[in-house]
Amino acid sequence: MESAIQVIDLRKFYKTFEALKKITFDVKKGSITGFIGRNGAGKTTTIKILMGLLYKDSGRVYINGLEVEGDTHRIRSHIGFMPEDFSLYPQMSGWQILNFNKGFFGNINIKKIKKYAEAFELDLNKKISALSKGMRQMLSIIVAVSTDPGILILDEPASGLDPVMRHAALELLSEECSEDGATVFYSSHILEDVEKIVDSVVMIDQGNILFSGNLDDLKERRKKIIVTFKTNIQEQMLNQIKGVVRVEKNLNSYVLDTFGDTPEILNELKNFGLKSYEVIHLNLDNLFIETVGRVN
Amino acid sequence: MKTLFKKELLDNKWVVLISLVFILLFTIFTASYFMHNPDPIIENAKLTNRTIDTMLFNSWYMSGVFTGLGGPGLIFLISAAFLGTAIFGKEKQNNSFNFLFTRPASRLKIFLVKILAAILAMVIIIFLPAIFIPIFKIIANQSISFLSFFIAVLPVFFGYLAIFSLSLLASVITNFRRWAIIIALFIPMVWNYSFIALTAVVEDSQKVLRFIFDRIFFNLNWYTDYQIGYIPFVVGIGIAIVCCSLSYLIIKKKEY
Repeated sequence: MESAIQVIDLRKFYKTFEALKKITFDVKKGSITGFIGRNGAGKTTTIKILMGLLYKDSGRVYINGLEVEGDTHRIRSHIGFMPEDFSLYPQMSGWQILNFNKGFFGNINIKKIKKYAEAFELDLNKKISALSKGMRQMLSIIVAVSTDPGILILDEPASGLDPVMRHAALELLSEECSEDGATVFYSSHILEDVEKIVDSVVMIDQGNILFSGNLDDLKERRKKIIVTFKTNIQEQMLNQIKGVVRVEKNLNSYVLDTFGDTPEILNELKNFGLKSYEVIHLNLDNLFIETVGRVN
Repeated sequence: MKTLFKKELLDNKWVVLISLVFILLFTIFTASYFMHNPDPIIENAKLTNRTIDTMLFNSWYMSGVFTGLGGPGLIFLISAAFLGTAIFGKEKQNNSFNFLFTRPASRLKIFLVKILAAILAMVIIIFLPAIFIPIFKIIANQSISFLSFFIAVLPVFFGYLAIFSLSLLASVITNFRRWAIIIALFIPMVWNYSFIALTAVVEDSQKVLRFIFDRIFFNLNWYTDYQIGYIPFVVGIGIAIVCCSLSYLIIKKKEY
């Protein structure tokens, strides 16, 4: 599948602090990709470089095959962007800001705008200064999708929304991808939301990419296996099995953090006199904590 | 980009309207005085070898408490500082850089459109009230000359264009609009009065000093007194180009 966003060896320094350490990842066209990481992991820095708000120190960034090099405004005509620290002109109304945006992009999809406004219960005639933070955030999402962009880059789009609106926003974004074929790349802390709609994830921590790829693949490869053995086994021996990342000993059992082909690992375990086992599938929340924890 | 231009014009509307109201008061005062008794103006213009337009504009522009910095001059100064600092100061205030600079338009284009809209506002503030000059000439039975009208008004325009661009640069550097306004107002004032004081002390060098500094911004007699021709235009535009270019480079290089 063709790439919508391609990041290769991207590096960014803030004075002497290395915010991005040669990160590489790929976002496939037509996918919904969650960009997840802790505070200060480098998510916003990466997104700002994609949008030309920050300049990279080295590496290459491509959007739709075109290299992002500083103020590359032409690429932006295909992108709907919502920044984390978003701010719209307070003196304008919702419709005014949408028409202002139209002046740059050339067109807006009125039908879609009305659909989103209805779903968000948002009055677009109201001045932005009269809207609550959540409502402004919803308007910001509408502005991002209003031009029918091929790529949507959203930095924490649902963080200030109540659960009902968050659900509505996620559903609409999911539709955006399935109906219009748009690529959605969005960062979030709310992993429960990410898991609901994404097909791929990019995990970042301390400026390093921990994982980049299909979420189902990650879930398939990253599991916990609780095992008991017929005889006493040395922890060290289990650690040497290919695919076992960490071993924790409980009373009579061992908890293995695995990253690899589960049947193969189980086959290996049988050689040690495996008595019983239980495979635990992890959700994204656990996967994230486990992966970040493992690295740290 | 039309929508950005329109937005900028609307954003500047209060500066334009308030300035025009104040300037209009001066204009009514000056115009009514001259219209009541136009002969001395015409005589005076002939005696001092100036055009009636320059004579009228000078008297109007300088009417006020401070020579060269009173009346409409003071309002021009304040409005130029407000317009210059508003261009990017308001974006900073609204935290809207990350919205504006992620639209599909280059920073250069955005910069130019914003500057043009602010310059148009300055043209309205400076040129619109000066229409009283041709009106006066019609009443005084004098022929109207567009050239002498522009020669009378343009030096002021370019002087304030320089102040406007200084304000722009100050706002881009400081990031705080209030400070930028203070700096933009303070620099020309200190500039003007320190050179008035200096030229009073060192009389022989007054031509050079006032030529370069004082007269650029605040004195309109350059054309008839010194016959320096194009220099105020060049200096005014020069300062404007340097300040605007520096501002653009800062805006372009800055990360948001």
